[in-house]
Amino acid sequence: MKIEVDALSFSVGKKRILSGVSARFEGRRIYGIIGPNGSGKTTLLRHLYRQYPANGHVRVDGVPVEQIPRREYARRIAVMMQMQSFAESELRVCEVVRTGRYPYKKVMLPYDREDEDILDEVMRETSLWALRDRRVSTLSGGELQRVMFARCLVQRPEAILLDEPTNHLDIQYRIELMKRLKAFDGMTVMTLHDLNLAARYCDDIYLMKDGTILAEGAPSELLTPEWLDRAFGVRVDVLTRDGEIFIGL
Amino acid sequence: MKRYYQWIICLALALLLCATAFGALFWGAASLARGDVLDALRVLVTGGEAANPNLYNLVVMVRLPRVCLCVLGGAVLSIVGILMQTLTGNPLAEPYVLGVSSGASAGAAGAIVFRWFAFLPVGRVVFSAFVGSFVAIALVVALQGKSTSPVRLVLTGMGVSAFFQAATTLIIYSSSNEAQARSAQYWLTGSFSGSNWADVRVTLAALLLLLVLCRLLEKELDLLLLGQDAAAQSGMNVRAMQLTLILLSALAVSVVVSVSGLVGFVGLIIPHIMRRVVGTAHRWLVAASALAGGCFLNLADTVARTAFAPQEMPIGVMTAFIGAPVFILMIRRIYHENRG
Repeated sequence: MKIEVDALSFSVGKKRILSGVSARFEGRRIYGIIGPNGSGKTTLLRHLYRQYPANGHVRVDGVPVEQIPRREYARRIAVMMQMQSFAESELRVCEVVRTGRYPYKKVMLPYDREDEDILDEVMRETSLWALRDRRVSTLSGGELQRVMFARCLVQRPEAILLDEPTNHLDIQYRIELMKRLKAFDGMTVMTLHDLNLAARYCDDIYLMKDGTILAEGAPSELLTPEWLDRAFGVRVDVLTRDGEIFIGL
Repeated sequence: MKRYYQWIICLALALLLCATAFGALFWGAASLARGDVLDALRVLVTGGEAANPNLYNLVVMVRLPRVCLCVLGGAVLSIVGILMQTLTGNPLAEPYVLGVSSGASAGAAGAIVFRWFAFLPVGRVVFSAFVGSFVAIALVVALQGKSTSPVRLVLTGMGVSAFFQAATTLIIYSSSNEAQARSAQYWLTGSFSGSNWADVRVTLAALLLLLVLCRLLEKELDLLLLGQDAAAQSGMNVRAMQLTLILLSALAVSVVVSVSGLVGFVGLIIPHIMRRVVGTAHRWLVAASALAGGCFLNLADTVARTAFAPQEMPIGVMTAFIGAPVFILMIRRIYHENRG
């Protein structure tokens, strides 16, 4: 799968959020979009998942995203959402994960044996099997995260998009999620706050500032005091040990 | 055991519903001997001659349709409550609270007093009520947008409800016909007095339509619980689904309102309790709420018609008396949760 963004600009009222952003995501890699608040990372991601109209500036395997039928798009690209509305708090874990099969079903037809098999397989893979009948309101933040990730997996997508997935999570859950993404057989595009996670788990980094892409490259090239100063306007220490990068604040 | 849990709950509710419906036949403004009621039922089922045709008529043409209508109306209101809660992503949504019932009653009153939609051969009142409730619910959903804020929803509902209740009152008082004006009470607080078999048939049709569509759309409804954005990203046409649910809810509410006036809070209390018992997934929630709602409204009506007999208390007063405290408790709880 290949997602291309070509000279994408976006304004809300008179405020320019993105100006002429071009990017290319392809293959089985983890892409991290980093940059200060208000740099446009989330807006860029929302264009990829069609929350905002891309007007031909975003293409998936050469086809403009707005021309791809809803369900086909959802079968290929999963978006990991945060949970927040009221009612799902009484839903069971398996009921939430099962909704990931929705793009494969026709309206008015129920989920069938095949959906249940995929559901079971993913529930075991993600160690949710023991929790399958629990109400999601009783889960911890880390477990909830795993549920939403499992929901993406039953979608059997070629790519997963995530918006700040590690916010509000304790360190062990951040690492767990990143490891699961590393094991995912497909492409990952995510916006990230945590630079150390980006350093450790991303294959490619897009560094954004003021609605533009400042630079693109491997973590070792971009997570340097110079680039981070240009993006964030602060000096940070970057240590390297055994090829691994550590960013100290 | 776990697998059959929901079946057992629904079976128990169904038995309770049958028992309370049967029991309600023996209560009413006119005190009937137990034997007379049983005799009338025997005649109804097996045919033959009634010992006393007047009593037979009282049971079969007055009491029985009233009990049936309460059961059906309670079921419809409970299911509509669920649909509106799923549609708005908010447990406080309910046809009465959001002013949808008031929209329907304004429409119905307009059809009676001003002869709106006079060109329709049948179903003028229901159709006019439908237009009113559709406008009200579309207004609420449009004003709510993607926000899941309960405050915004309830305040919007208050405004819509106040407006349509004022409109209803205005329509009724502008009528020169005194009998019509007297029914203002009926349209604003609800009553099942004067129920007849025609009302039962149209309400039954509405209930069957709701049940069938809820079953067919249960996958869509469950997905909507994750929020509009999540539903859209899973490939659902959210706008079309919303419109379907709005039309369906408006239709069901307009039928119930045109046969019974404003009966509030049923669609709030029942789903709220049933969610705790059978969970939030729609398959069981709809079935259990329909049964429990039928039970509840029938019991409420039995109390309403016997507590101050021969005076009849409006049933809307009964349901609000129980429903309003539940509503306030729910608001309190949601506030606490939102504050973390």
